[in-house]
Amino acid sequence: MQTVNIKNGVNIHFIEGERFKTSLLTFNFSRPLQNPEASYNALIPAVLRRGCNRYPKSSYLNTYLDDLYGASASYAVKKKGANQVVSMRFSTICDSMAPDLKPFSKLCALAKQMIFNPYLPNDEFFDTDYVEREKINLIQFIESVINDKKEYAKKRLIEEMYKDETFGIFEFGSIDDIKKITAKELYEYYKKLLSSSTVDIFVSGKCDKEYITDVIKEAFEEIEVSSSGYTNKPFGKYNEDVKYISETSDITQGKLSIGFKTEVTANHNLYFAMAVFNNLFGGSPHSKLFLNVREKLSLAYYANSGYDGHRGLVIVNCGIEFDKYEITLKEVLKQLDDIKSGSFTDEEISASILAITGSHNAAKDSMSVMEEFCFGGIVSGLNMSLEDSVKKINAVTRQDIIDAAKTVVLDTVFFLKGDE
Amino acid sequence: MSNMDYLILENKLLNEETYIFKSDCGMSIYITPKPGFYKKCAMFGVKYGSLKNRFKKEGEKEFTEIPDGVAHFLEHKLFESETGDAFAKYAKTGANANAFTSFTNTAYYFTCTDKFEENLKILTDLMQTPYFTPQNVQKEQGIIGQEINMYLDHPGWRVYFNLLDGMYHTLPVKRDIAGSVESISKITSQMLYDCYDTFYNASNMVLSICGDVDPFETANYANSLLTDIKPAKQVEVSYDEEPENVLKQKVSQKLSVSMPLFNIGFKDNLNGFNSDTFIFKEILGNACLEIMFGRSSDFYNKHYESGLINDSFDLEYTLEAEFSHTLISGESENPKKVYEEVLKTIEETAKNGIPERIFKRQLNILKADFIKEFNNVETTARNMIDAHFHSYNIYNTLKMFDVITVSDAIKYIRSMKKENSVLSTIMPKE
Repeated sequence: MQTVNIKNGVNIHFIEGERFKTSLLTFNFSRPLQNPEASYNALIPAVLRRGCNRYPKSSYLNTYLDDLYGASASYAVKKKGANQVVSMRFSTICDSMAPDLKPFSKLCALAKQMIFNPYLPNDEFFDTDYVEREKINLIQFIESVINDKKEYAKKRLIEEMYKDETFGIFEFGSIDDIKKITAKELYEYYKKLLSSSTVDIFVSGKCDKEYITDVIKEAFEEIEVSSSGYTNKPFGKYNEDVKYISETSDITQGKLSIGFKTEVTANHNLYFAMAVFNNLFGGSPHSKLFLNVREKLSLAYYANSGYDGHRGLVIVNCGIEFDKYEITLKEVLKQLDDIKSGSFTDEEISASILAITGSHNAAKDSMSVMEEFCFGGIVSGLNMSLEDSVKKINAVTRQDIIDAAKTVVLDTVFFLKGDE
Repeated sequence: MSNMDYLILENKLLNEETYIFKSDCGMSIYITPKPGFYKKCAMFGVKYGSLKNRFKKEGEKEFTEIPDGVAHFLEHKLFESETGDAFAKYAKTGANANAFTSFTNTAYYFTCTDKFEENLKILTDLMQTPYFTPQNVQKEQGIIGQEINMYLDHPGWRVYFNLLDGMYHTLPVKRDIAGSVESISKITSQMLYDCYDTFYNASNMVLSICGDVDPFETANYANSLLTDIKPAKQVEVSYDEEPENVLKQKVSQKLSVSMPLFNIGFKDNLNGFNSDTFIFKEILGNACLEIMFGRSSDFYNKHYESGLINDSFDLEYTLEAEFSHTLISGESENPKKVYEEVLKTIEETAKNGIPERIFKRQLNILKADFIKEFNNVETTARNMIDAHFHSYNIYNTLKMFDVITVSDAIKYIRSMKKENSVLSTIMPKE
């Protein structure tokens, strides 16, 4: 990765990828996660995606994107620990595939237009129709979380685990806050977003680096950026009592989400051991959860765990029969205790280390995965190359895994069950 | 060392080439070298999916009927052998392994960055050592039962299968690939052996490898591993007659969703395509959908602006030898209105035609979509398997974009008739 500093708080990172047939440009604007800002952050990229000064109507903008070989222009809002990230991503085939048109270079110029020269019908603020329509779309999107019961269980678990805490803020904002936003307020906030965020821009694949650097320099030329960098909050605190929550819905299969807290976050010396622990616990087909909850007891089709090193969070998810709640929960906790007491083999350790280092090496074959890896390192401050990360993983010992497991404490259990 | 016959397919613009070897057992081995890539993928494709529920066993005159979900059940169980579970073996090498079953195919694969030869041996071994017992079948019934239940709770999945159930009268595409909890309860270990012995043979399977490998060394090594593959044979499969019209034009279910979900499908009775005509039809079906309803279409922009549709709106064209259909999906407060507007747009396009400029632009987009797939070793390996089973040369795809004309598209759009369409909805519970 090669980094070019544009100004304080604004950097471009070039990631190699000569062998790919497409190129990728991503703008990440990051800010401290807080309400009601979260709602504004979630709404802005949707409004920017509707039109820009040069292509004010969505149909013009979409047609131009289609002219660039069906280029994609998508957006996302993400949560990374205590940071909220507004992300806009642009991709199409690389210039060398269509040298007459140079679709990727043109797309970079369009990206600049879309983000920095939005459509302002009265020269003062965003188009009211666009803002009102995207408010409705965003509200409908938030409401639709209930459609996917697995995701819903996860979302409810997080809410319960981090009530009134930064980590619990929903990255898409809140319906009440969104309803109140006006086009004028949103535009005022948008100016703040451009001038007071930490901006990391990624360019992957074959591209004209000089040209893209110039485009981005020009974009920021007249903006006075005062960025506060990334926020790295400690994990918080362990709760004394475990919370058990259940809800009912008209479902066929119960969705069990179990949340654990750990003080091990990205800058902790056990961070890499935690990654190995998670793979061993429920992150692979040789994991304790897969082999016991699924294969041995056939309680579930999926039974897995995930580790979020930004927050110090481990989540287990399984889909089970309603009356298998007790036995499944007991089994999951038993598997965790087994790891804590060192009851796992050297083969299991090396299998987990191989699985993680293998996926690290494979990351180089995907521009978006590589970008995500680099960005994660920048946010957490770890900023490590893939090779160094592989070395750290390889150095994890049995005792490290036990020590990491011992920091994993049950916090909240959420169960979505049937109506009856 | 054997000297296998081979041929090379290539494309200069894409800068890609694929070697096709004929192994000693009669199976084809596709190798697509990808210099500079870290990941390697090997995928074993079997031309057997959830559709083939009635077939003749070797040496028998009568057809055998099997319950829904056997192909998928077999996919789960093939990972086990007398010497242990294949996942446990892959765990020792660090490979990422998986498998999937569709209506027409089953595929088993791994990706890895290291120990490719060892992994290829694990994969080819698992394909050649079936091990089914009443005990391991019973255990899997619990796991797959939960997989089926998971999909029953998924509105996006339900709205799609409800659509297929309305579209088809008899073809098993109307039922879930995994079957139902009831149908899988009838599966026995003998049934799994019957299906394995019938379909897992050299003429019905193909191995596709993609990554930074030497094609000749890899092909020779793979050939040496394929010693227990059953010889090629033709399998007789039978289906009930499938009428051209749809079974039901409207299908609806209530679930706890925040707003209605819809799938609109057009059954397409132009089946039996093969070789280059298959590519032709695949491009044509996709182009027609995108031209009428894609993001730069009048339809999309008008109805997005009015709020009738949102950005969950999506298009898909499915083409197999046995069936094909178009699919328009999304969320809307008023699915019936979306359906009416879709029909209106089809009628108007059939009448007014398509401007050449729009048509060419759409073909360029599809061409770019095709090119993009070569970024990924798994997708490339999989695309070779599809090309093999449909007997086409994948590198002919680019040429096909120059062959398709506006009048082909208009002809296709005229075949999209209301009586061949289904509206499937999931409505919120009060």
